[in-house]
Amino acid sequence: MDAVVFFAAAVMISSVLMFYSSGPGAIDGDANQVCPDTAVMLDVVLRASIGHEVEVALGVGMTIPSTFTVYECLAAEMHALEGGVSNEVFQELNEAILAIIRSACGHSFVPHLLVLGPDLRMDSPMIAIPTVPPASFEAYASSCEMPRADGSQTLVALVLCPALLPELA
Amino acid sequence: MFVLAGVVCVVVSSTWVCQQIESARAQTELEEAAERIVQRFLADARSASGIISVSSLRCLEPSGLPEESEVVEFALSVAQLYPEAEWLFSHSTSSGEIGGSRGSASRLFNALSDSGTVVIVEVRVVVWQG
Repeated sequence: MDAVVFFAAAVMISSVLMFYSSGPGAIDGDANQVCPDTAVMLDVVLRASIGHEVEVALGVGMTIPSTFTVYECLAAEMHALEGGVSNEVFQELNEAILAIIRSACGHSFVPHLLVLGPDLRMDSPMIAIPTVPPASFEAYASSCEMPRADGSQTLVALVLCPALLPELA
Repeated sequence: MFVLAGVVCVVVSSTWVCQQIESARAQTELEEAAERIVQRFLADARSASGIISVSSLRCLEPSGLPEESEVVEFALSVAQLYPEAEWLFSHSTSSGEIGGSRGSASRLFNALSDSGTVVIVEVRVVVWQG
């Protein structure tokens, strides 16, 4: 009887040991390997130049030079939007910014860049490139403050949602 | 018989768990070595003028790359991601195949292009036991 009890206890201890050592995040060096560094990515994207000239149809016709950084473009866009200019005017510029973000984050993630207004509402940002991210259980995000000329602060947020496999999309 | 089976059960599972822990430790060390190489590469690239230029990345010399422990081999590659995808530099300390256990690290950074624009560049490092 004692031997049977010992055997049962040994099996139980072995099972517990093996369960915890093979469980996710226990002794798994790859547990967070796929997490993108969104803070670095946001910083690099904001400092990157647009790379080519972009036409903005602001009535008089305005060309954004290739050396303008994403940060400067967003600041100019914010200024224009606050002046009553329509979002559609900046469609080409937003597509250029989206191409920069996509090149940085690769194909594993679907990026969303948001510039939040003074109310900091994620569901109604002043600028959403390309759209407001869908509600997701798994998303990676980072944000930084964007000082304005009038002394107010706005928030720039980068949200990365894992891309669906082509067969699931 | 039950006692013997119980002892064998505990010994086998303990050995397996120890191997798992050792494997995870080795993996972590490789990941840290890869991260160190990336950090040193970026520090060295910035040390000259504080600004990394695409032209200086194209002209990198393998002798100027950071040295890691003798037991660790590594391969380093630098590629421009935007505006055009372009391979800038690659180097490996070994001409052989990459070993079984390996760690990796990568980092995005900005660099100044010849045309005066700020581009996005990525450095990737893979390390393995030599």
